[in-house]
Amino acid sequence: MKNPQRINWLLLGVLLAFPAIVYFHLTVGQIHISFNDLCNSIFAYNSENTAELLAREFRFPRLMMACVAGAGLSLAGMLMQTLFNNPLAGPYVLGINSGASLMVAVCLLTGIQFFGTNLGLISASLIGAFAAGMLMMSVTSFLKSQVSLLLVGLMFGSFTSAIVSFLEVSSKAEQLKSFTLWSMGSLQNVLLEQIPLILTFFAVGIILSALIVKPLNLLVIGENAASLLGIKIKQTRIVILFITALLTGLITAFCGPIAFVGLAVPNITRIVLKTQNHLTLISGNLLFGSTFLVLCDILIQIIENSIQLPINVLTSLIGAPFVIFILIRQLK
Amino acid sequence: MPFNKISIVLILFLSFLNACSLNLKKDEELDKTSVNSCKHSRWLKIYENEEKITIKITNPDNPKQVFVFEGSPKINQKKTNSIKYLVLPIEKMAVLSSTHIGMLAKLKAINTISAISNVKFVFNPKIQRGVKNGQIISLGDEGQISIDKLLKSKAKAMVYSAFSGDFSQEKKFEKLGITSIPNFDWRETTPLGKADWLLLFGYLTGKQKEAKEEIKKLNAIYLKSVLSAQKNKSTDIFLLGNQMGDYWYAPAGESYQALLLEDAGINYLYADTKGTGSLALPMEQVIKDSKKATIWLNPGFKTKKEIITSNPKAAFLSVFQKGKIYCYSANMNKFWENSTVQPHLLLNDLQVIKSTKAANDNLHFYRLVE
Repeated sequence: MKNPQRINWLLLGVLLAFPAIVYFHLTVGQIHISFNDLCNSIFAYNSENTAELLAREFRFPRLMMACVAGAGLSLAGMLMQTLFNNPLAGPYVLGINSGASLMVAVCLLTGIQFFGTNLGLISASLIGAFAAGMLMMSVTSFLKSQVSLLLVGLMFGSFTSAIVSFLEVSSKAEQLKSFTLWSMGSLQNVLLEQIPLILTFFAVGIILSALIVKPLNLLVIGENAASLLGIKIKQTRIVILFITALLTGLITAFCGPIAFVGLAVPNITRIVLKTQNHLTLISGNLLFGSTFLVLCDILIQIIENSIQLPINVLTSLIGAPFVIFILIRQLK
Repeated sequence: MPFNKISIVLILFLSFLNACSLNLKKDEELDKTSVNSCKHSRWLKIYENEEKITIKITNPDNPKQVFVFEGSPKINQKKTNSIKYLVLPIEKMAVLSSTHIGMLAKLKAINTISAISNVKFVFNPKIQRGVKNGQIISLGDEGQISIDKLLKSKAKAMVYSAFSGDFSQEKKFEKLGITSIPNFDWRETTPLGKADWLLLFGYLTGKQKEAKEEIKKLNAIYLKSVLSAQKNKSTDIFLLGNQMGDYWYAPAGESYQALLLEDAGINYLYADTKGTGSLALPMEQVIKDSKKATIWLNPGFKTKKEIITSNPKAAFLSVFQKGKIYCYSANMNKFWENSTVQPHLLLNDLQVIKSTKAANDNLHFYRLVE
């Protein structure tokens, strides 16, 4: 089978399976929700009916958040990998998540009123993610080795953790409690009324990514070569950083830190699709990323009677061995 | 010769067995000749005779590990690995939990405290003043105690809670002549079991008579309150706990909290569950189970706004919309410091909430969350 045909079949296969996965996610769990309950919760909602309440206020927002977080982090990871020309780049490894987390910690642990609101938290998270991205960008101009860049990212993560620990020690008990809860990471705290706002930011990220497909395709052959072919490198870098910060900041603000999705899924997508066409890669990352996190969340719901796993723990359990695999493959 | 070698090994083995059985006998003798002063505690035993006081503290996570302390006014025995010797009464000690401060305050032995963990978690005004004027030293968290500060405090013993498992600095402190004593009152499953730990502080400070007297009074008043509560059982269903991360944590049916509610004649939603720890439940499950709950206890916040900020989906609980919410978080330090030695007041609060659903007038620890 020819490569483009194979890619189309693969994407179509996952796309066709996706509704079934979504349906399973909505109905699985400790409390069974029927197809009728799901339909009623959309078209004839009665808040007194527990099943309908659970479907509308709990399952739908949770599903939407899983899709947005999986797709958004994967897209951000893919953009970082292309920008740094490094398969180990990703919002978590390169400290973008750490920047967002640091700013959220500053908000929640210092008690500044503005940051107590949804908008304040998202703004802070975006500022933190963007600042961390800018820092990493400036560091890349001094470093040639990809491993050094990775180490700088990890060191930056440790540095922000130290500041967070310092803030934790000097914060009030209530503030500390709020931050600890946030840092556990969760797909469940999002409310139905917050979904439109989240989808708007998410859509901006996707549209901007689609607009820079050509520069992304050319960045693969290296910045110098891309520059010779007419790509404005500086502008492209800023747009990529903006999209990454937007998506990572948004997801970190609402779900807390979710590790490794942004690193593992873009690599899996590249391995499976075997293409450097970024339009296909963007579609693949959106589809595989959301499928991956929805499947993780289904697994959490299935096993929660015996083991309670936060989403961040499960993604790390799957993602960390994958990073080791990539490192070994690179060193070979 | 092989026979000789076997004989030597056999003799050594038999000597070892004999030594073990002697130790066992000693232990049995101790249990026979003196009576355990702690009637309700699961993890603390104190034996007293004319010569010495023996304190045995069992590690709840590893019941084979028993910390043994022997105390008398003057120590003559040589140090051993299995028994630690204390010169009693202890004049200066470090205590790392609010509950310990409450117990020493109850015995009017506050002056023995020379160091605490963190003044942020202290309710007692005398201790707050002591820290302010430098008489009492703040050591920091249990896992990160400054040795310099501890030495400066001149403490001879340190009572710790082992919240995070083993106390890693124990051996270092021992070399400096400071004995570390674990306190597992927080692992007791009954209010009177918790209160029994007052005796530990009684013996350490030489106020064992006062401690026994207090325990006797506490037991009588608590049991009287239980009897009165049982005559007037609640029809309301109580929900407890709150969401932390992805799960709702509520006390299991055999836990300290659940037994306290049972003593108060309260109908607790998860009373029939097994276990002495916490249940981790999906929020959806709690929404479904708590449809008929009318009172929510211990969400961990002072206001409904704080609850919603921390857990926005709490707004879908019918008890949040229509019921009443009570919590001790109006003054957490007061609760942690005093509720262990005043279980009758805690029981009284629960009875007031159960029978009158009152606001704050007659409540000692709890407050209505508005």
